Amino acid sequence: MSRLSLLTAAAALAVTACRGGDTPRALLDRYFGTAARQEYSATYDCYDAAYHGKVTREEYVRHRKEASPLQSWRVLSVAQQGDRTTADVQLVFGPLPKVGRTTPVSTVVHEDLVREAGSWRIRVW
Amino acid sequence: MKITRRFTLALVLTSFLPLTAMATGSTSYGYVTGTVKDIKTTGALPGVTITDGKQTVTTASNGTYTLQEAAGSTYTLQASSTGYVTTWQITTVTANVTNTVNWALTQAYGTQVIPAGSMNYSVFAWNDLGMHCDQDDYSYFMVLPPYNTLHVQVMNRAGNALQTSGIQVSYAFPKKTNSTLHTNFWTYAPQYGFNVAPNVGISGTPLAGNMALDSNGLGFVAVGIPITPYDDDGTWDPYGAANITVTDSSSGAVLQTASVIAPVSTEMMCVNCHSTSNPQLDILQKHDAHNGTTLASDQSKGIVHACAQCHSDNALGAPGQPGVESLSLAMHNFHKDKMTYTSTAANTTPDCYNCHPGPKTQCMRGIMFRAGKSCHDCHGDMYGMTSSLQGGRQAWLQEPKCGSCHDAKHAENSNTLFRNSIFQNAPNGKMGGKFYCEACHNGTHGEFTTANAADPTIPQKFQGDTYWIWNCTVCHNNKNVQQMHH
Repeated sequence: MSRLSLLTAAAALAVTACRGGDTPRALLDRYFGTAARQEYSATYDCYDAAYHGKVTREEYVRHRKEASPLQSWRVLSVAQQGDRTTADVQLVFGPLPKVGRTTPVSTVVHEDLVREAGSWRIRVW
Repeated sequence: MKITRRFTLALVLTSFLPLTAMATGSTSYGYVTGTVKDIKTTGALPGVTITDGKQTVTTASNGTYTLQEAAGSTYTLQASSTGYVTTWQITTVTANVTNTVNWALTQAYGTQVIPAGSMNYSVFAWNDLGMHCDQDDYSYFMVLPPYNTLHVQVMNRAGNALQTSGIQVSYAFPKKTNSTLHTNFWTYAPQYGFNVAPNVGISGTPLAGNMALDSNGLGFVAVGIPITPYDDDGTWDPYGAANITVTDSSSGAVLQTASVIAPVSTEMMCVNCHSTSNPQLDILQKHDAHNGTTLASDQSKGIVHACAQCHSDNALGAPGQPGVESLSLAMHNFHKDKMTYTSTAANTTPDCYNCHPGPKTQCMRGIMFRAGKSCHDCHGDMYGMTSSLQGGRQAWLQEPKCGSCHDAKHAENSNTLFRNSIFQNAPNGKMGGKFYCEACHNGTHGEFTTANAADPTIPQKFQGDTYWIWNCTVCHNNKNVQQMHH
């Protein structure tokens, strides 16, 4: 593998992983982007410490695979107040034979974000 | 050397004293011994006073104590120490038997300003069980459907009274608005005998709506809410939060809001033993091989069965088929000698978590778990479960009793499960018969203070801590006394 390829791969990883210093919108894009690519380990990185304290990466990935695959997302609104942000996001889940669904389905979800140590994270509880 | 000999002689004499007493006197004795620890730090607590009301001992530097008691009686022991909540346990002493009664003391209540003090209404809300079981996939069989039950009681602080009229109580799960996104329960529900619309539970309860007055007329209830451990966005969230809203029936004004956790988990670890590429099919095939059924063949034709179709199940009110063991008995009886079937199963502690949720989601996470108790301490092990059910015990309807370990004032109501029991022995008689035990202590297996930070939403909002509801100000405007309710 060439040095350029390695650098490209490293850059891609850096973009994929949830990291600090970005905006709520950037976190939402990474959260749903990694989920849509079924890179659930990277999606797991987007949750806050409370979630990580209760759910391990392995569990998360195993269970997330049981849920519907995300096809696309569209952020409808973002409202930031200090270290908290709320967002409404339209999601489109792909077909899921397990539930007998053969066509995509759309839904709007409400997300809570929290800033932890300078980084925005998805808050579950 | 002389000192050593004397010490040895003293030890020998001391050891024989009870035997001597038994041989010469009419009273026989047993012993109660144990260790007292701090529930949070798990460090041993020296200097704790243990008393049965007549005699008192103090724990040693390593937190241990021993009491000699006349045999044949049941004693209420009290453990108290400055800086800790006084705690009671009961024990029955048998001659020449040493009972172990350990203690895990909770640090004394704080002196925080009680948030409810500035509110007109307090809300107590809880899920009736610490954890409800659910399945990721219903295309092979159904053990239990999605089915959480929430209770709410509303205290009018200004009026100093429990309020059950003139208000409407509603519930909604902001992150769980559409269970059909991630589960196939409703695809198969008609085959399991439930002709319910998508996102409606088997008792007709939707994912959001108004709660009904409960059968005792003390609070509000939503029975069988069909939530799953998956949030709408796909997050695995076994501790989903419901928003409770109390409104004035006349004006529609919001009087109070609260958040409560409704735990649900699919963490039934069948795969620990049925670790084929398709554990569910493996279960059906093994059931067929042992019982001559055709479950696997039926499933391949699209015909699925609920376990309760043949095995009676009090959780569902299903009568089952004559001559077939109840589901609870069949499961415990068949699996009782298989808890070491694989190394994964053998290493799962307690072994109950091979089937019940679960090693991670922790059905049992309440204060008894934090005090070092395990499922076996109340329910017995697999063999104990089997024998009790074979002896006629009704699963789900006849369960372990608080009063088996706790003193009478902390016991549940006679012939009533903890989750249905009502507080009766308040220092002020006016409080008796008004509040469910779970309103202050939370649901079975998740009693406050729990090991799960997501649980204590109610005490955090109204009391400012994660304890059970203990402060009078939470309910009363005119009571500033901090005292035990029992």
